Amino acid sequence: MTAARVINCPNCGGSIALKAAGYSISVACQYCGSELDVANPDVLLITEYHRAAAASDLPLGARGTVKGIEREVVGWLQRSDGEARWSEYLLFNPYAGYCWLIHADGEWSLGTMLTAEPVALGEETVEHEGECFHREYDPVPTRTDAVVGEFYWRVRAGDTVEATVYSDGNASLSWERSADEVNWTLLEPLPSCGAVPAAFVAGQAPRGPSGPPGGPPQFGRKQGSVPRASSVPATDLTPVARRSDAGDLSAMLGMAVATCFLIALVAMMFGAGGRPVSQGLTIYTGQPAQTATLATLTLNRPYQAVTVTARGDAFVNKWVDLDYRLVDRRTQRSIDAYGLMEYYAGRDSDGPWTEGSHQRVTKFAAVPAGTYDLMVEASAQNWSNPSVTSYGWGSASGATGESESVALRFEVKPGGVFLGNILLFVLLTFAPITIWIVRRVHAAAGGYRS
Amino acid sequence: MRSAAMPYVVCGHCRSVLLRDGQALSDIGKSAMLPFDVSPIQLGTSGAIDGVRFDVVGRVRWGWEDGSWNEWLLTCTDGQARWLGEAMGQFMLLSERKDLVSDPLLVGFGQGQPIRVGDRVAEFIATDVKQVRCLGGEGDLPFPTPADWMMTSVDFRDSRGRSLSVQRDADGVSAYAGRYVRLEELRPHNLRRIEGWTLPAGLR
Repeated sequence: MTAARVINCPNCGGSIALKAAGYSISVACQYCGSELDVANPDVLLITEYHRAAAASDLPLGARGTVKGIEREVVGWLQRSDGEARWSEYLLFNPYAGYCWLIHADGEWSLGTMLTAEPVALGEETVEHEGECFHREYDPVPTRTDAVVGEFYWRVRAGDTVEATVYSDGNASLSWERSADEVNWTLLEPLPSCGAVPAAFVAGQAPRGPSGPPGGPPQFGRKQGSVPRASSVPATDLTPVARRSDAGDLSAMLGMAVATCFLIALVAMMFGAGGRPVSQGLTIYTGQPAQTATLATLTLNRPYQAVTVTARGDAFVNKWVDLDYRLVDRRTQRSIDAYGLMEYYAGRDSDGPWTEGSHQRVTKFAAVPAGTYDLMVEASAQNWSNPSVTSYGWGSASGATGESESVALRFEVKPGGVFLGNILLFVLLTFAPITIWIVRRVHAAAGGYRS
Repeated sequence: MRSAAMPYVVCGHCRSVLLRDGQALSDIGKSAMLPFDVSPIQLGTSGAIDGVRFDVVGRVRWGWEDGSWNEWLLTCTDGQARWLGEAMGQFMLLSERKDLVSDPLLVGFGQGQPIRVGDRVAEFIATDVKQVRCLGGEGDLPFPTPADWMMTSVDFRDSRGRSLSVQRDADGVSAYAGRYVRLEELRPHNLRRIEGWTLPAGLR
C-alpha cells in the first residue's frame, strides 16, 4: 500500500504526492505556486501562478520529532498583520493528526487545535481547562501572504481573518475568525529555537546502503534559520545566502573547514561501534539457498551503520552469494544488501595463481534507530575452470556435481566508518585550504584588491 | 463478512451492495469505489473504550462542498453500535440519541424547517449546517450507501467539547451525540499500516 495519492499540477504538470490523502482539500503547488482544489477526484485549478514557490526554513517533506511523535511538514503559510510577519508550518502524522509549528521573532511554538471552545468570562478573558487567558490586543486583520503545500481546508494567498491572542503567562490561545468560522488554537512555546529546524531532516529518512548519513542536512538547516526580527521584509527569507559576499571569503573558507570537521565528527559518532555478535552457518554447493537469522540488533542512534563480516573456511574454486536483509521489527520493512565471497586457484603457464578472498565485509549505511533482525540467505556454487579440470589440479573439488560444504562465520557489528566518507572529508577539507593559500599568494602579488 | 447482525454488506471485491434476508443474499446495486485516504483505521481494527470492546465492521464516507470525512461503524460488546467519525485527523465517538429527536427544534427540522447556526438543542449549540453526499461505503452497514444519497447535516457543540450531529434525509431525522477522542484512548489493535510511518509509542 502506498502512503500517498499522486496528482499532477494542471498548470505546470509537476507531480505532487499528497501526504494526507483524504484529509487535504487544497494544495498550493510547490513548483509553480498555483492553488489547486483536490477535494474531488478531478484536480481543479483555482488560481494559476507562474512563479517559483517561495522558500521556507523547513521544506515540504522534512520530518522531525515534536513532543515524541514523528511529523512531516506538509504545508507552509507565510502570514502577516500590520506589525509582524511569521511562518506557520502544518505538520502531519497519519496516526496523530495535525499540529502547527509557528516561527515568529526567532521563537518556535507548537500549535494544536482545540476541540472544546473556551468559555468567555467577560469581554477580554476566556477560560480553557480551568485556566484563565487574557486578551493581549484587539483583533487585527491577519493576511496569508504566501502558501505552499497541502491543507485540510480551503486556503489561498490573500485570505484575511481577524485574529488575536489570549495568554495566561505561559501558553496562549490563538483566536481567528473568518467569514464562516471561529478557530481556537493552543500555542505552547518550544524550548530552544535552534533545536526545531535541526530536528527536521529534509525529505524521507534515508534508507538503504546508498542513502546519505542523516547528519549533514541538519547543519544546513541550522544555518538557514537565523532568527530574524518581525519587521524584516518578506524578501529576506534566506539571510545566509544574502549575507555572503566576496569580502567574507576567508570567513567562508574557515566555516567550510569547520563544517567538514563537524560532518566528520558526526559521521564518526554515528559510525561508532557496539558489541559484535557472531554466528555460524554451513551451506552446501549447488543446493538451494539457506536462510538464517544472524542477529537481533537494537539501534539507538538516529542513524548508524551496521557492518557484517563473513568469513569462509578454506574453500577453493567456489563462490558464495550472501543476500542480507535487515528487517525493522516494527514496520517489517527491510534494508537489503549483497555480498559476494569468492576464492579461485589454478595453475597456468606462469605457475600457480589465486584470486579472491575468504572474507567479505558488507556495510549498511544510515540505518534508522529501531530493533532489527538481520537475516542472510546464503548459497554456494562450484566454479569449474575447464583449463584447470583438464590438468587435474582442482578436479577433486570440481565438476562432478557433488555437493560440498562451506562453513561460514558471520560477525555483526553496529557501526563502521566508510572509507568513501574519509576520502570525501579529506577532499572537502583541503579544497578550502588550497583556495585560501592560492588567494593569499595572489593577494601578495597584488592580484586582489581586498 | 464479519457481522451477521447488519442487514447490508458491501462486497470488498466487486463493490456490490448485498442485502441479507435470513440465509439469502440479494444484490441491490453497486457502491462507489472509495477514494484513497491515509486513515489509520481499517475494517478489522478493534479496541476498547468506555468499558466495552469494539470491532470496526463498516465505513461510510461522506463528502460536502469543502471536504469529506469517514464514519466507521463499531459493533460493541454491550450490543450497541457506535460510530467513530474521522475528520481533519481528529476522531469523534458517537452513539445514537433517539431521545433528542423529540426536541422541538428537531421535530421542526423533520418537518422541513431549517436549523441556523446558534440554534440550541439541550446544552448543544448549532455551529455548522451543510449539505452532504454519500461517497460510498465498505463492510457491514445498517443501511445501503447509494451514491445519490443526500442529507442535511447539522453539527452542534457544547462548552465541554461534546458534540451532537443531526442528520435529515428523505426518511427522517436522526441524532448522534459524542465527544472527541484521541486514537490512543481507543486502545486500538490492528491499525492500518501506512508505508513510511511507524506507529507512535502510545499505539504499539
